[in-house]
Amino acid sequence: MIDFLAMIPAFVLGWIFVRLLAPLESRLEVPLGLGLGAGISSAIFFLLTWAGVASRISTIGAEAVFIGAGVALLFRLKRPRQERKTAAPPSWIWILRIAALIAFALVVMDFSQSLSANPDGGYDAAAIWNIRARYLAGGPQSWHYAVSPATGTNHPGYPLLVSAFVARTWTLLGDLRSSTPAALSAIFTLATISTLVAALWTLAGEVFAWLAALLLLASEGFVSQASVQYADIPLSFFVLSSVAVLAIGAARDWPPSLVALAGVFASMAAWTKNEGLPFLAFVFVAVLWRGGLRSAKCFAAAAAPVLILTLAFKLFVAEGRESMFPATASQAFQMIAASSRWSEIFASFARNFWELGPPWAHPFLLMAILAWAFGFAPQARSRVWMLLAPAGLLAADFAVYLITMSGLTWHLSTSNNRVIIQVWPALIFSFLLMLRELPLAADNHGKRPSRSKTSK
Amino acid sequence: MWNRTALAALAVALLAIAAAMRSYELSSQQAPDPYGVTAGQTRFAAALELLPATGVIGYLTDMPVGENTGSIAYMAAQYAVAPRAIVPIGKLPAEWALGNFARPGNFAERGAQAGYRVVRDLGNGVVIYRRTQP
Repeated sequence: MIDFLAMIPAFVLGWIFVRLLAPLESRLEVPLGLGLGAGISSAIFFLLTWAGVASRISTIGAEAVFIGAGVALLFRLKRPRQERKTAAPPSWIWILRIAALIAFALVVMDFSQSLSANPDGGYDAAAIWNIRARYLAGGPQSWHYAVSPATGTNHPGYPLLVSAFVARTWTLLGDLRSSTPAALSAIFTLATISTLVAALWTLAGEVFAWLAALLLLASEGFVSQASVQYADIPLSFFVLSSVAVLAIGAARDWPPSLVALAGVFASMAAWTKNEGLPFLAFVFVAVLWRGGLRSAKCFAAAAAPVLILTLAFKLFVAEGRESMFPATASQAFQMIAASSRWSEIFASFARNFWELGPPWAHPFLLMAILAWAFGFAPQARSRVWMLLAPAGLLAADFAVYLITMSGLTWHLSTSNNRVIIQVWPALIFSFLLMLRELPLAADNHGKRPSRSKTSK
Repeated sequence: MWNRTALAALAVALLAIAAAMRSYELSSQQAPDPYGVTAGQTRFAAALELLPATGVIGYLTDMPVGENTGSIAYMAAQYAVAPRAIVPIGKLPAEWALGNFARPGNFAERGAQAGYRVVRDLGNGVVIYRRTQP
């Protein structure tokens, strides 16, 4: 509980940032603010650490200054709330509400059970993310260990959002308790589910919102990652948030505020994991394609600060280089030309998609049922652009596997399920937005939500 | 009225709950602390009171760090003593060293060979060393 209390200033900061930049429905602002707050606070803590002045007082002081400035701006600008009236849902909506509640309760029990078995998470949590957080929380004499391979640190060049936020919270609390990274995992899992529900509620109505929640909560692959304390669920949050905010922006004719907010979220993806960098590039291409040059400039400007921070960290702070890629182009071409590598990677992707859930309730089966019942919207093709960045990220992962210098079988077995999870919530979101609106029904009181057009 | 979409939603709801229940059952089957990370924090708790709060600490072990068991034991020890950094003896200069042994043996002799003397044997294969005068 104390962990959550120590995280509250960060979450308030994130909410204020979302509210200032692009006011949305409050049900969406809150989960977006949770994740963004963790991102902003981690960046502040890292900068304080880099400057050699990180401490409990400087951290809370810096956050207080930002919160104070944000609150002052909120009062000054008097941002109007974006509460939109939604249509009355069908009479059977209670089934979905209760089902989502039960499924969520089961996931909470799952999370709790996993955490009691492994309070420090999975292997990589201790070997990479949380040990780096411990070094960062150690102050001026030890934070360098988090970014240097000389002292046996694994992957010192991995981006720092998760580690720096855990370190920031440990610094505030004054100890290195195991519950802090666990609490952050819970927050990001909750924020991902809530963002999925709220964004679909905004764009497509309550029925699709709860269906999205059920699809995600039925995905064993996602649920099993929730408690391991890696950076994949946080990355899936930023991937989903970028896509969702852009989809809302596209439905509202690309307002600069929403495009900028999407840029901030996409840049936070890059600050979370290496995969976030190609994702950011793919989102930029999607914005340029659908929103035009003006939107692309707006997106780039908003993404720039955190992107620059990430690149500065990689270029000037992190020591050593990942030896994952071949040293020469000819070696890379040889690997690309090996058909056995292609087939092994394809088989692994297929297996890991298959293992997302049990065959009798596989998310693809549930999607197929929904596609059969609702049908695809006539304008579904014009919404395919939403898949560009998540699919692009999967393609980039595929390319990395092709030329990885780590043993391919080992590399696939230790990461392939997680790269799918990184984009899974965004894929569910995009899929449901392609379905046809609910048909008019006699028991559907009032006007149904009108799915805004997302094509230019 | 129950139309096709309502029936589909009902089917998805029931199947999703069943899938979530299965996930919950699977999570009950996972091995507790398979890498000894949580146990390591208990194992090395007494060592934290003797070692300096920061800095590089040497690491002495009978489990080769290059092998699977040794690398997992090293990782668990690294995590337990962080924010101190522990590195295998000889890699970086270190005034203090942490012994992490799986089997009984002459720990003083092991330390002496590396230029360290025993400060305290904490039992259970955990030993605190300090560099002997050069």
